Amino acid sequence: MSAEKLINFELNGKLTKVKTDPEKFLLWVLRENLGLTGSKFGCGRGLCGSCSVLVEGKPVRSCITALKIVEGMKVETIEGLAQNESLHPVQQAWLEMDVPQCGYCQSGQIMNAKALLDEIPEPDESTIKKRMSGLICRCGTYTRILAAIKRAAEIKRGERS
Amino acid sequence: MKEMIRLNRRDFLKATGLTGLGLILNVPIDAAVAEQAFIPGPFIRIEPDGRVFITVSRSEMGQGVYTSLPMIVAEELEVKLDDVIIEQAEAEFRYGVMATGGSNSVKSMFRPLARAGATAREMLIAAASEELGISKSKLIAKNGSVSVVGTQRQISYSQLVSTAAKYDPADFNVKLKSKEDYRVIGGKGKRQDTLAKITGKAIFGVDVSLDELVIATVKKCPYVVGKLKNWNSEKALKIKGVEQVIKVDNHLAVVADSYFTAQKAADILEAEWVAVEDFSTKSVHESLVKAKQEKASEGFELGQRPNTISNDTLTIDYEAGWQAHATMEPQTCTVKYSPTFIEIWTPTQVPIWAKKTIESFTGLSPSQVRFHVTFLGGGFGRRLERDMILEAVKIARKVKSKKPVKVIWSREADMRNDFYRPASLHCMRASFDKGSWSSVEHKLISDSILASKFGQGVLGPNKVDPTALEGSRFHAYQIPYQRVDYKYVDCKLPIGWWRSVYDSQNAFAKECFVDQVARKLEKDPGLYRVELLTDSPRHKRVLQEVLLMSKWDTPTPKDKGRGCAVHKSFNSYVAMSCELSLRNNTPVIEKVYVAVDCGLVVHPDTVEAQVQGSIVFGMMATLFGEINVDKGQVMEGNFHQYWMPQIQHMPEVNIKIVDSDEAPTGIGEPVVPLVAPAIANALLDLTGKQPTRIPIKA
Repeated sequence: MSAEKLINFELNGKLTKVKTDPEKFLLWVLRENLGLTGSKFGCGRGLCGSCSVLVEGKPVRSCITALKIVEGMKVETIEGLAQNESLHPVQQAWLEMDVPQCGYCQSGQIMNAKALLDEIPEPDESTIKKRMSGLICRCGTYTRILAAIKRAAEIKRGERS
Repeated sequence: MKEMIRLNRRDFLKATGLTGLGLILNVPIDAAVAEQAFIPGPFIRIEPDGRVFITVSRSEMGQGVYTSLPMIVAEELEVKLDDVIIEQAEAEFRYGVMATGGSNSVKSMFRPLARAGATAREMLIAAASEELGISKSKLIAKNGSVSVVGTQRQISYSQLVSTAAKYDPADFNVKLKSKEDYRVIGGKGKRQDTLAKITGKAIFGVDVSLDELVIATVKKCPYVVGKLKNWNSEKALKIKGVEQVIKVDNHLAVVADSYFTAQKAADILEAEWVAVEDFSTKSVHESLVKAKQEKASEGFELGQRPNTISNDTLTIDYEAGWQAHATMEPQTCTVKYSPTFIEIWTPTQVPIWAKKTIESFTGLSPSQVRFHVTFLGGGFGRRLERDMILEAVKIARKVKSKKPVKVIWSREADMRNDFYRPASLHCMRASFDKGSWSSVEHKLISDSILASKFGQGVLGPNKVDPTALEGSRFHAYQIPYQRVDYKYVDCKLPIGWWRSVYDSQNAFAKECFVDQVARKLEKDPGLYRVELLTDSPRHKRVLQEVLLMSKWDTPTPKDKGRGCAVHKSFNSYVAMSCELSLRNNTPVIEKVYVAVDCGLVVHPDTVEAQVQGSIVFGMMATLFGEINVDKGQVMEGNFHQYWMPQIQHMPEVNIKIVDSDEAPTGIGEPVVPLVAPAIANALLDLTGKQPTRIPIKA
């Protein structure tokens, strides 16, 4: 059992300090200490991706990432995606296509899609499949996820529906 | 429950700049407002400010009831779908049946909701008539207002609330709209829960937050049937933040300030269990095979039993393994307990049944148990069970600090303590007379879900579970003699209703066998089915649509296989064809064609989503995972052992929704049963060998 420690990191653009066990997984820090419940607990072993958040812009499985690892880093969660008055292009595409069914895995899907498009603005289908592989949606919304990522790329390019 | 309001209009306006789309509230009605509101029944409330609230009495688990059910009300009430505010019903008898299952939400709620909407509309028209002094025949309701025909005059619903509230709904005889006048039903209505689900604001069971909430997780007995022998909680209790270890049945619950802490303590908690039943996948398979020799009971018979025994026969055995529900959200339940009042928040498909379970367990009266339903992170039948809710109450009443407790199972606890799709063996026998199919017999050997839930007594003297026969019959096909026999075998593993239930195994056996019969008769399996479906127009229509869509009459491309299936379940008719290839000896599903006839379609987009999702669900149980038991323990504990299809496995899906004037029927389940036989038949086409067991091992 590690002693509590004050850990600083940037969460959705805001400097955040949490005093807790530095080994505590980021998912539970977000959900329990900070009240951000959008990132979900699915498997606890980094297998399903429902807990995905971005650390320094890269998708990370927060259910197996100790808080101390993100010390001083930039963390983004689903709650920080919509800026000012509007949804993020990935969310806009998700809304247009009505992607979610039960919705439980969708925060993780959306965060991975955001990271993908930040890195590769116009991914082809096989790149999307490669990068979104390893994210489990039990409802099977994959067809719409694929379509929504293509649509989000268009929205980012400035094409409105 | 103030804590659950993470979602209000002002927040959304600030965060998203969007208005009116997907506003979902989960708050008790304010008594003062209720007094002034127009509440013509349990499903509709129009407040003095004109806001229209629609209560959804079914659980939203992804199947779209937060959209399809309000669409039915909005149609008759003459309001826009996006202008209504959706409320989840608490478990209360005034809503009638609240169970969400059997693909019946739209089917069973269509008329009650349409009538509720129409009644409210007529009452508002009557109120307008009284207010304006104009005959009702000159008034029409449209877009949240009542207008005077042929003039610009109109009066909004908000101005009619107090007058309409004086009337008795029983005095209104209403006529429902006809299909030609629909503007909401059958339209493109946006899903009302999307916005909440893409912004992280939807409140699932695991997201419930209350003041002073403590978290518990359960270290489960590793044996399916086992006993807790002894345990030592000393080390676990030394972890900072751990409050208590509670024995609950044969399991141990750890109560802590965090799930992280609770799980860490559970991992080091010392405990010893003993197995009470030693059984395995292999031993159960052997007992199913052994039961083949034993006498079965008659389940279903159609036509005249042939007098002579034909020598020209075909016999094949098909088998299906156990499957878990594996909802993405593990089992969870939050309980605020006191000896005289219990409040529960949980993602359940059966709030009324669960509430009654808690009432009878605690001896409390209905008014002493309050029951809230959250969003469900998947259901698929797992949340028709009440085990988790009862367990959470047992834990909550032992929490020394008296704080409310949220119980969250680990994935491993969830996967190993499921109520699985039963394993089954299907012995098929066909006889032929002068080259035509004269009889079919199906001996179905499996565990009984009914017996497992309600005791063997419900099976009657012949030990037949009528639900196990669902989908086993060939009766759509013109075969002179048909018979299904049922043999009950207790397989020891807890079983339950898994999306599409027994239809999933029975359609596999039935539709695979039809292909083998066609092959024996040297007929095309698609066209042979059409030939056999002469008296079943709805089956035939969907099949013909699928054959057309998939260009069945063109030669199968090289190195590919094509298979089809047709099946009716939950009163909906579905046909499917699939095209696949083999890569490293593993089937790759490339294209799937589906035609569905589920009667009148309220929300086509939901139907499309359910078809796509059902294909993935069916693929999983056909090609990916299986639950196995060894030495009385469930082996698979997480997704590395119980493998799931991912985006790269998703085939191209083409869907045809057949236009129908029949009453609406289900869509959440009826597509699932076709996936396994369509794949197995495509493999037969490609390789000449048909897999006879699902999941198919490469």
